[in-house]
Amino acid sequence: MGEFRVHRVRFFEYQPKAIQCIVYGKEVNKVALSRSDGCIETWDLKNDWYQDKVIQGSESKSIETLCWQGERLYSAGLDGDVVEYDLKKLEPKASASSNAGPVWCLTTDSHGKFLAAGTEDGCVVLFDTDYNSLQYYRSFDKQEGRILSIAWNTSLEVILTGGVDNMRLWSVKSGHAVQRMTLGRVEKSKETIVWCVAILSDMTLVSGDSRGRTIFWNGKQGTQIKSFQMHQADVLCLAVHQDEKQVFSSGVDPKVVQFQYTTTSRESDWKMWVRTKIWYQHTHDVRAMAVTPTDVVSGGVDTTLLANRLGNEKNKRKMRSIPMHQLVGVAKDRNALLLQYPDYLELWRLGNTRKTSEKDGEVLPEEIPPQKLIQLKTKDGQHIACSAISSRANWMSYSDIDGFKLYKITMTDTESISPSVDLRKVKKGLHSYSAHRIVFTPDEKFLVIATSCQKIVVISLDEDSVSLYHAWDDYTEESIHQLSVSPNSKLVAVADLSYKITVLGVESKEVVSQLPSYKSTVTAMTFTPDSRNLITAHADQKIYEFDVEKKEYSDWCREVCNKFPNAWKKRHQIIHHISTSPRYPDKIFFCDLDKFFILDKTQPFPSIGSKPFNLVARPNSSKVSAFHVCTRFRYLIHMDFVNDDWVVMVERTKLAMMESLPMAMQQKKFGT
Amino acid sequence: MAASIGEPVVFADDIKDPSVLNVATCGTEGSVIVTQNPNLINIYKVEDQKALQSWSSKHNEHITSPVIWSEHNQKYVTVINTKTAKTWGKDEQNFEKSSTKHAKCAINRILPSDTTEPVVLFNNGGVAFLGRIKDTQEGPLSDKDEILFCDLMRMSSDLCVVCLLNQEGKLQLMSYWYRNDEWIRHTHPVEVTPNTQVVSCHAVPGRNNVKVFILCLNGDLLCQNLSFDQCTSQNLQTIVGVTKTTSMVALSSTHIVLAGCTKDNQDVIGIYDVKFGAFEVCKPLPAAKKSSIKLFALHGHLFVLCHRTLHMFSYSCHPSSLSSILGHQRVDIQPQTETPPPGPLSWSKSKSSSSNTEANKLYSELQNISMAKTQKEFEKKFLSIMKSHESDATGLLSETTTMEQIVQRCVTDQKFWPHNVLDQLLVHRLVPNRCIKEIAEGIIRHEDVALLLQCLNSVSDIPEESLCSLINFILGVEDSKVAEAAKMDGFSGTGKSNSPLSEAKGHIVNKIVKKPYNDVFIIECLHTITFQNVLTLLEYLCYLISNLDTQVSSMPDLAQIVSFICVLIDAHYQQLVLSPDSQDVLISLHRTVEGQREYFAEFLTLDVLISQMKRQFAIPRPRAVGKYCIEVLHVY
Repeated sequence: MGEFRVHRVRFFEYQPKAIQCIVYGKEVNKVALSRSDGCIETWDLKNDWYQDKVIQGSESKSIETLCWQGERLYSAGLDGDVVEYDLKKLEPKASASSNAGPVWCLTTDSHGKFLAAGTEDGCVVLFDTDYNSLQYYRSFDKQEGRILSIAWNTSLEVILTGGVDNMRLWSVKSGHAVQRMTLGRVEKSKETIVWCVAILSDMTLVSGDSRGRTIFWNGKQGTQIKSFQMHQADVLCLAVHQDEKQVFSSGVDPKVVQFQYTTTSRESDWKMWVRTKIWYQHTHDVRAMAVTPTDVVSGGVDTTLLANRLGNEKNKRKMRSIPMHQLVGVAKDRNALLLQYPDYLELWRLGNTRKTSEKDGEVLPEEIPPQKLIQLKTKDGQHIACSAISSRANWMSYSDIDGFKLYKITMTDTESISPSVDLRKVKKGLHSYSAHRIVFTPDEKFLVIATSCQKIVVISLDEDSVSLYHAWDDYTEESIHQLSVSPNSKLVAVADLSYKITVLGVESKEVVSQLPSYKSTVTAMTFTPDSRNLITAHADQKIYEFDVEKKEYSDWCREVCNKFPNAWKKRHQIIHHISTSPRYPDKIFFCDLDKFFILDKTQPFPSIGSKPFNLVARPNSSKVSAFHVCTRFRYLIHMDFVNDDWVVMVERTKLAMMESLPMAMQQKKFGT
Repeated sequence: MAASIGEPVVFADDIKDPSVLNVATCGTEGSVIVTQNPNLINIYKVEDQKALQSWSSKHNEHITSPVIWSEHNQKYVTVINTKTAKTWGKDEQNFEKSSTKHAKCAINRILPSDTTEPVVLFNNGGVAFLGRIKDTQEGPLSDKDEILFCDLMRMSSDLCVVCLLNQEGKLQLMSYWYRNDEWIRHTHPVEVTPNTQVVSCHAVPGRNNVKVFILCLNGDLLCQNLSFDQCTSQNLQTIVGVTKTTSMVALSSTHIVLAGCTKDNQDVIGIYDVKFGAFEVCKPLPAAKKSSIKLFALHGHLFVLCHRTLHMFSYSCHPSSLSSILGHQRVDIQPQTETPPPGPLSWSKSKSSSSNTEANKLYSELQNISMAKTQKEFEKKFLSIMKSHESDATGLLSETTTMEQIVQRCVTDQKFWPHNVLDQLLVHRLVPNRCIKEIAEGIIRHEDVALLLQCLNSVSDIPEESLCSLINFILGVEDSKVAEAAKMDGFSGTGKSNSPLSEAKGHIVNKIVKKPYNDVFIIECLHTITFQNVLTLLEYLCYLISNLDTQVSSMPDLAQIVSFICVLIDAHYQQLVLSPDSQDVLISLHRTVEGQREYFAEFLTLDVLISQMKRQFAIPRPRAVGKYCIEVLHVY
């Protein structure tokens, strides 16, 4: 099917950060999470857990809490500000100070008009968010000690807060505490911290504390209903299902425990809270949890977002911790690799060999070893949103929240042991566009930028001057998340999160074609080697081929678009990279986190009802299938062709990522 | 401990004339009478060494025979000026008042007897009771003859005077037996190793016989078993460290005391076990010996004259057992002293002593050139020994010294070459390793190819020097001889060979090449091989490389051949380089080695292929991927 020489790259040491907060936005059907480096990710549940947006953080930024309010997303942290984000531009939109020190927790009322924040000073601070505003409203009475957790019951007009050794129930109207519940201590000097609280509509209160207890309270009386000592260490997070019949708790001992409000016998209607399920999937502290209508979502220090389907224990999803957008750029004509870390870039020369082999898996001796050519750090530790390298590695560009930067690279003796590399920042005299995606045309004449303002900007690159060639203003209403340039450098395909895909003429400055709207996000796209067709992979695992000239789906696409087997469509892993090779014009190469696929357009698809193990063609089998798979590579970050038979596979193994994680809580295991 | 010697005590000092000194029993219990000087006689109490009584003679009277106590007469007896015997009682204080008797002949010694009068031995060899010394006594000895030792022995019914004489340069053992009121004289020659001399002599009475121990300067301890009608001689042991001043006293038939022996560069006094041939106990002498040492044993004490001082040691001696003697035996490492074989000692109790004695006799006869002069006699005796050990051939292994002696005898005898004996010894692996060299020399001297083959077959470790001399020998010997021997060894050649050596010779050379050797030592020894032989050998080894037949058992393997070529070339490198004769051989060798090198280089490729094939069929192991690699990927 295909014989390649693979640059198997494992020197990309991208380290994802610990998950700090997870919140579920019911209105947008998205999960937002924040990581310890201050970046925020949103995961679109409609598009099969597709990570559609990433708001970059920075070294100085800390996010302690997140909160959805309708379609609006807020965060708060140690700087004491509550920040609202622009989810199109992917940058902070507005902020308001709490005036009471760092904010540890944030919640919203059910009408979406106020936010309540628990602060270091012990105040509950209300923010008015009505009419798209965000401003300080008022604060409640000050209590002793910080407020670490908060929950709001709008119908009962009470706010529940958790702090050190006690919980308080506040009247929203008066701003006074109406109930105080103490938790007691095991040791006199060791305080009991209430890390998380929840309030149900029947005035049942739930708390998780540093003694590992999950306690259900009668909020009216201020008495305990039931206490569960299910955790061996601090309970850090609680999540309540929308039906209020299920509560989940987790914490430092990384198990997720489910409690259900249920009858204990058939004859009686008497209901009580009982512990039902325990999930042991995390390796480190679970910092945050959220419940969607169908899943309980958890994440923590082990950086992985896990979604467990409620009611079906087997159905679980493990989301990749490395961002789905492109972190690796390949300079095909220079055999170079651009690696994007959060706050710096590395340019590597790949190794080379003239040797070949007929044996699959054989490691070929390197005649030229790989070498790091450039390391470029961002100013003030700003996080990089996107980056790109031109095909001959003469140009390099990246963008952070302040705007995009362009560099001219001069390299000589690239094949020698010590190549001379010169990097020069290009003073462009252009408007500083903050970019979401950047791409160079293969002929290195143009740089195409998808800006945060949803513009498409084409910049003409010349040895001496850089100038704005063309810009499509107000191109779209949604964030642009995919850009792809045709091999002949004439076309650029643009995809946004409103499912709009357009092919633009780079030089001609005109809209060449617009693809039919398809209600699934494009996760990867590329042009065929002849630049005639645009191939798109979608979140529903389907792959389409669009004839740009004819402005219609290609014959092959129309033939197979309804033939994707059900088992294929149920796959969990998103296709995050797709590629073509002039050497194999009939084949489409793509990959997800675990597998490298080849789709042979000349071969028939398996039947729609095919079992998962019958989907792909197998060696020594008479069964023919269009899908061919290689499972040798794990945790694939990137796949692309360098030359005819050369492929770059960039891996980042789970084990390598685990190495830099802190120690997990020691637990006695059988046999140890 | 079977024997012990206590700490020395000074008994008497200022002994002026050691020749006359004597310590004898006296009439008082617990005391001894010491003839201290030619003029002084003292009685000492043994316990506290106090002088109890003393007599002194006049200036012109010299004691020539030491004082003895006559139990029969209850008197002390001594001889003054060789002819006057003086007798006095215990209570007599004045020596001058003692009664005197004048003898016509010079008296050598007065010998005490418990039951009879003291017996007088004259210088002419005559013997008489003290009461009859006035009679003219005729003796067998002339003035030139010398009485080395004399003593009176009392056996159950006999009274015997034993004398060791040096008569006309020959040792004689003369004995007088008192029977029917007359003295009957017997004389027996004593055979000692030539060029040695008697150092000390002592006798102990047995039931019917007298055992006379004679210590020679070369360490030989002879025992003469003297009875009325016969005298047998036995060489008991060879004692190391015997000097001219050594003195010996026999305590019993199995133990003797030796004073003045050298052991570990020290002059010692010790009790020696004759049976096991080892000192049971040793003590350094209290003073360095500067003159002759005299030794007496009385009342459980040893009296040793050591440089004008008489020391006393208490001692005890019991019959020895094997356990008490273990570890005391001293191996004679001095090659010049030819140690006689200890005889067939057996650890097994079941073994009858009669066969041991027989074998012992045979061994000594076998070794003795005079007893086994011809090859026939030698072989006959040898085969009878082998027969006596038929059931316990391996037991002989413990008798290395014996075997070494026999092999030495076989090899060194110029008169005959006992092929069969050596063959038997080799077959039974009875030849000590240190004799292999001598055997190899013998083989070469007698051109005994058959024995050479036997030697190669039986002996695993042949010295490098011998290996080289054997190579030299075999390459020079006639082909017919070699073929005959090889045929006897069971070798049958194919007859079709273009080998530079005959097949039989090749067979033997193969065996030599297969033998283990140390390359450092063999290079030294290989210099002895003649250059012509070196060339022949190289040519043959070169031939072997190209015609290696692993089916033939005698064929060395390639590594052995190559190793031998290497040492051979190393040893003769310069000569090989310089000599034009060696060019052809070296070129041929180079060609062969080059061919072999190419042949084995191909094996490397084959090895890689095989290991690759193995890997293909093996369970794949998880491969550790580093930071970067270039891999081949085939997607189906």
